[in-house]
Amino acid sequence: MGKKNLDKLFQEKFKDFSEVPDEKVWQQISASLDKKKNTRKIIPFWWKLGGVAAVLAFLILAINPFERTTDQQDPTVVTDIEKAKEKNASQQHPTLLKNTNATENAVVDASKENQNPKVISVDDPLLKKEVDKINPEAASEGIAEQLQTNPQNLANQNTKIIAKNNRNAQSSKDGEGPTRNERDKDKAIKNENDVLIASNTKEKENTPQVQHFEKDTTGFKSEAISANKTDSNHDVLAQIEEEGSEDEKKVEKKKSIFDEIEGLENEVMTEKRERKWAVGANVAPVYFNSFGEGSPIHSSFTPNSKSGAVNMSYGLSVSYQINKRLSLRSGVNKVDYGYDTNDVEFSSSLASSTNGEITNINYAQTSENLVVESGKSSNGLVQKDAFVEITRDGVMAQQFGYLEIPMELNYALIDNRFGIDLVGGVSSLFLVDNSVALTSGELTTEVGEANNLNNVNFSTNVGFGLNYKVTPKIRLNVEPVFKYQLNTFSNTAGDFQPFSLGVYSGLNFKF
Amino acid sequence: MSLDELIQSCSKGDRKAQEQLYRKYSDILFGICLKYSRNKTEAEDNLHDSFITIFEKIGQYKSKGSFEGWMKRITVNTVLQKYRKEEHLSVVSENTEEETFVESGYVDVSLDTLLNHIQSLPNKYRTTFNLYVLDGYSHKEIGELLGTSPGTSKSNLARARSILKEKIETETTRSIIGVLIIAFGSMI
Repeated sequence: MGKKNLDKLFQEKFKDFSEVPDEKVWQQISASLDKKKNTRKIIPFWWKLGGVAAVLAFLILAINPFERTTDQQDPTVVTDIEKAKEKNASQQHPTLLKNTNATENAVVDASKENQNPKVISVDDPLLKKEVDKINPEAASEGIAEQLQTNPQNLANQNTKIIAKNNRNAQSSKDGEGPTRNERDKDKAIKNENDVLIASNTKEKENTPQVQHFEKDTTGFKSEAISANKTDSNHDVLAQIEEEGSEDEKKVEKKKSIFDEIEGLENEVMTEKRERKWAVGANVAPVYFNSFGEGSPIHSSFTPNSKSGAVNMSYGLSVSYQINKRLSLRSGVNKVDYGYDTNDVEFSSSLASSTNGEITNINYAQTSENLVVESGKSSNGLVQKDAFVEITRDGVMAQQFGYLEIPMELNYALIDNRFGIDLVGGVSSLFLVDNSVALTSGELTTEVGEANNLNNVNFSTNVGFGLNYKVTPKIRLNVEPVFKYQLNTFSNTAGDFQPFSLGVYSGLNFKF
Repeated sequence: MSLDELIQSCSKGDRKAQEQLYRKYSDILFGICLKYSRNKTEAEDNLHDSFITIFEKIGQYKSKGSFEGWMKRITVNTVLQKYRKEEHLSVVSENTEEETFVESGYVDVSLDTLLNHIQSLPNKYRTTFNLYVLDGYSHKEIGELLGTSPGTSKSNLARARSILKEKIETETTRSIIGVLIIAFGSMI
């Protein structure tokens, strides 16, 4: 029973040990490579998208198309509303007439009397003045004047009105053209209306609107009058009175519509005055570190202590106010991140090219012979290899720079002169700088660059902002923002979850 | 196609070249995977992951050292990375680096049996034993690779040896008993 060295037993058996894997392994590899190809295609798409977003943001800044559009649209909007209201009013008109026709005489009489209180009062000049004072409307004065110039038997008016209305209904069906006399009357009415408008300019603030309206109703009147062929002056007058009373109602209605429009216009104006776009510049000290104990460079550095470095981030931001409290923000930031791996030992060795290289680093030509190892993991227990000549203790610093395109939402918790915002969003980061260097005392050696850094990665951002409005246009900001990096490294040793903490301060200009 | 040309084509993503490279080296790398993994299925998974990494990083290979060595390193690293998370911190025991002898005088243990024994070892023992005994890594290097100290590596190796010894000897005893039973049976 000879004793056999266990190690030798295994070494002998496993010398040149190989086995042909199952065919399905290659199929799976092939499928995975296909998948990788597809995901690679997505990266340039993000690049493009990020680029497009940045270009758009700057274009919007430079051209500011939204401001102009609102300028052009405003009058159109108002006209539309006006026309719509007019349509409504004119549509209401025949309805009113129809309704009047349909009702019984007595009812109509009563309604006419109710509708025309000023008609009765006009006989008395004192009363008339009073009425004018109480209701200084163009139409009422017009009726009053007409009644003054054409004193009629008021008692007969209502019956005539009814008769007229009935005839109107019939004749509008017949669709006959107006006579000369009637056209003359039309003109007269128009003239009167014009005079009335002139006399009422003091009382009316929105004169052009009223004028517009007056013309409109005159058009309606002439249409109604033209439909009537055989009526006498009295009839016409009665009709004018009736129209007058309806005008009065319409003016009242119109008035409220105009008020509304005016209100709308005011709103539009105030909205316009509220500046929606803001551009700003910011600068921030950014602290980079990681949760977890791992090392993105090599597993041997896992036990080493790592210290986050503070770097600077600076950039431009563009924000758009969605509503009073919410705004969307983007921009471009140049940001540098860095951290140091402490307690590393390094030396120059000829054997490094074969076994001393860290696979996660692409060595620079000048540092191909460098051997970097952890001072921690060796613990001084293992003696240095024979070929290692001088070992230096130092710090390994990894630096990476990004172009950051954030897309963040700001919610204003307090929006006074002094404001507090909540900030949340994501950032796309595009790798632009990448280096690993060794520092020992005052000496610094460039090792190379890390090859496990993703060219594009994302971060989720959360923070809050304090701001102070120096003027309504200029705002000072201070925003501590925490950014959790999602996929900075393609592979790391251990648990390395990088994050950055920056206090972004800057100036914002609203326009 | 020379190796350099093959590497060049692989770095461009030529699928035929990739397949050729796979056919050429998959058996050697699968051997490594089998040693370092817990079973065949995991070994296949690890071989898959290793080749994906190899094809991803083949552009970074700078013709220094042997290409096969480079691929082996990637394979070992890939497997180690997978099991690293499952590792527990082990207490550094006293140095037990003396050689371990087993009673295997007359029963020739088969390769499959030995492979089974290795695969059945806990992750940290299996990887340490493989790295040190079969692949010639130093404890310092093992410490670096596994993110532990060389002392831990030594203690892990000692534990691995002791488990393996026990397994082989149990196997041997079982075989002896088997032989005895057969002999006894034939006598009767």
